Amino acid sequence: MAEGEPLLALDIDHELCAGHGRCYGLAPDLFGYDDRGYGVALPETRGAGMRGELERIVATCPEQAISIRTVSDQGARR
Amino acid sequence: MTQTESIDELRERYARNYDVYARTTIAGQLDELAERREQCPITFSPNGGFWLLTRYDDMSSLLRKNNRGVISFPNMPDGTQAFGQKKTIPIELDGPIHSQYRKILEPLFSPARVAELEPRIRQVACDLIDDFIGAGECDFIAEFALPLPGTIFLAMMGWPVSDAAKMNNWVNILLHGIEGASPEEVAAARGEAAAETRAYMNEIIAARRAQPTDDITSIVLQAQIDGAPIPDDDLYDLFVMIMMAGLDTVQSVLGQSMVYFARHQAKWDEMFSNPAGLDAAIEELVRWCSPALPTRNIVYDSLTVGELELPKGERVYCPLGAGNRDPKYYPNPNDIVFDREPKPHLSFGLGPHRCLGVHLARTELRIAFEELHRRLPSFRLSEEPHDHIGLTWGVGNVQLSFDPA
Repeated sequence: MAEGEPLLALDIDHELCAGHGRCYGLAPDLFGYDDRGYGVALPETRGAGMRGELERIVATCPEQAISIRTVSDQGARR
Repeated sequence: MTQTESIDELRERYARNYDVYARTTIAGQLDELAERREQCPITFSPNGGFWLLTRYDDMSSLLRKNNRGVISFPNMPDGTQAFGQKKTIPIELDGPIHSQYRKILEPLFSPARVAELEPRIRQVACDLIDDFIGAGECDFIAEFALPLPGTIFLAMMGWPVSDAAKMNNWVNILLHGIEGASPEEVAAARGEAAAETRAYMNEIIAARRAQPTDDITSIVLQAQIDGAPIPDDDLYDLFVMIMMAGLDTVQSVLGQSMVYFARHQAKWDEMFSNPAGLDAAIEELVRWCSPALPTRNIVYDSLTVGELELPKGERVYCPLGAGNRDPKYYPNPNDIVFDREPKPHLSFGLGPHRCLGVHLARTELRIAFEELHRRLPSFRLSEEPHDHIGLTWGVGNVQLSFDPA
């Protein structure tokens, strides 16, 4: 990964999540679930080059509850 | 939005009758809905007194407004109750009482709970296939599509699995009536089936209350809503709903899919050609089959529905199959395309009322298709099936024939 390249993380809006389970079904490396079956975003980041793949995951949420957040790479993956 | 017409004027301007019980095929009903989507995507049906949506976006935005503009409405848009309940619990509940029910029920149908059931589901599927594979033919709905989810439902509830045939018969009468019978005969049979189901459940409720186990029945009996146990009457309404929702929808997807595969055998192999794509393929079948048809009631003074402003009390009907065939998101919507862009379908509903059994349904379908494909590499229809349009959409008389094994 290039030095200074921004990292991307996925967030779930728990007000919107209704527990369809599409996110953790499609991307078990990025999402887990709680004991009611609601999605939980894992503390994972991906490089900016993965944005297209992440947008695909965002688009699969029936409730539009997932968003992409840009995080600084400072402190991450050191 | 400026809309100066009164509701009566609006209803009149958009009036176009729609028959929720039309004697037609699912494809025929979807064709009519597609024509409306082109010409007049929102219409008012004076017969039944409801607004009818056809576009994906209109349905998805309405269903997400539960507790924020709309509440649930009895099963059918004309307000009839099908199963002799006073209220369908929890799908006709809203707000805090609904979320209390969901908090009790969701852990019982969670991905982790369903994963524990997988070996059992596979065993039931194998046993059912064993029973007909030697004959070279099967009555697919009666011998597989209904008893698979039916048996798993009984096992989860902790009810005797040996009662499956009795239970499936009640469900069939409650949902689909009796073939060829008069409306009076169907109503009488439904009343009788509802009474028998109620008596059966009351017996089990009494037994579990006396001696609780770790099954769903016992857990629900010990749960509290607003600080008090759930009254027996409400337990019946809840259990009958879980039963109907769990059995009818899965059997509808299995039945419609097998009719499709009988007519498109190349697709049967294509579905399994890429194991990594199997889950997506099943989602595509669920999109294509869309058994459920929810209705909502507007509770805000006014709510935007599509390009209209509808006032409080108006009822809006969402045949999800029509939203799921909206060409805006699904090019060639009537085709089954296993590797579509993963636009989420509406079949499990949206918002607070999304299907409670979503994980169970996906798992039952995956295992069912895996085992059917393993044992029935090719098959055909030996009679013409017939679709039924109503409370849910499905297909009956699915007679399959194949090389006996």
